[in-house]
Amino acid sequence: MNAPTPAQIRQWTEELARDPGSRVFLPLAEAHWRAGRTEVALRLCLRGLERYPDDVAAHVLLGRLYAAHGDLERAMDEWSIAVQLDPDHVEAHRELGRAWLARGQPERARPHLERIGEALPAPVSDGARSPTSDPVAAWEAALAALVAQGVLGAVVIDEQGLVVAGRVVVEGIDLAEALAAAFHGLGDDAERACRYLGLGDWSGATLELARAHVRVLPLGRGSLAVATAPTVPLGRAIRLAERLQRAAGPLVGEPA
Amino acid sequence: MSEFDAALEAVNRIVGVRGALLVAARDGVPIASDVMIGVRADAVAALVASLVQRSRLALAQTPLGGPRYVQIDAPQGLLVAALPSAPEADLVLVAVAEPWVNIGQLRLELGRLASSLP
Repeated sequence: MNAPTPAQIRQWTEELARDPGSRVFLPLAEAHWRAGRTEVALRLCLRGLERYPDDVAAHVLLGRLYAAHGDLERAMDEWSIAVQLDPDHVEAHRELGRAWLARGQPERARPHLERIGEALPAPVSDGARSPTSDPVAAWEAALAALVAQGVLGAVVIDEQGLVVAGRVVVEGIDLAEALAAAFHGLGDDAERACRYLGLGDWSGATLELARAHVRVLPLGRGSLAVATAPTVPLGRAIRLAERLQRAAGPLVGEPA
Repeated sequence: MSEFDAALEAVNRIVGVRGALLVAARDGVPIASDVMIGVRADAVAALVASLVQRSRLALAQTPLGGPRYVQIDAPQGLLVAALPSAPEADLVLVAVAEPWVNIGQLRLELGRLASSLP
């Protein structure tokens, strides 16, 4: 979906003020969410659902807003309502699948992901390959599990600034290569700055952008960049990145 | 006392801050500085400007927006920079701090002061 223009947002806001029963609450809530105004989005969603309790897309969005606040329990309640209302709703099943993965229950994720034609990110019960024996599968599973907690994506970058693994999809575009190019250089600058100032080797960098938080961590001779939604508190974003760093290590020959 | 000096003094009041400076991001020149002995303001300014310019240029190609806050962590200290939200703004407020500094307080104060920079 293209990001709405400020004029569109103004138009929806005015329409909702004129007619509180308007369905524009949903695109308006989504626009506020994408702009990082979660509280506004949450209020709009809750008010909209008072009038339209069967609006599946609103339940899905409300779930995402709760998840971005770290309240996975309530998020899953909303996604469960969504699949009850529409048993074929792809996004609701995807969110539920990822949420169960995040909670370490792949057997409960499986029916949701299978229903939408997605495989579990790593084999978990057949014993053929364990996540620990396949670093790529383990990394994919770790990344998929954290998406429900507000991680937009992550990219493992080698010493030449090339993508080793990962994706950061925003507005339908995978930014992995752009971020690899950006943060490979940042690692070099950070290292130089810290050494010159006598601070020791750099151990991480945090960037707050308008539409994301990015945590960059050194990884072998390369780095790992983890993007989270701006609604995720910074302290939590840092911890989520550290979890991914452990899973990413084996991709560049580092211990997990 | 100029408004720049007042901003630097406010940052330096936070326990654990070794120094604060205002940097012109385009050319890496310190505009004003108040740092402890041993902290090279000119070097910090050049390095921070390079960091900011690089991330601004690279991120300009993405829908994520430019940097508003940058923090580099190291075992013996932190390098922190806050930028005004306007993309054309040139001044960057920078602090060098001990690793045990209250980062939440430093981040809030830098953000507040940076938002009032020209």
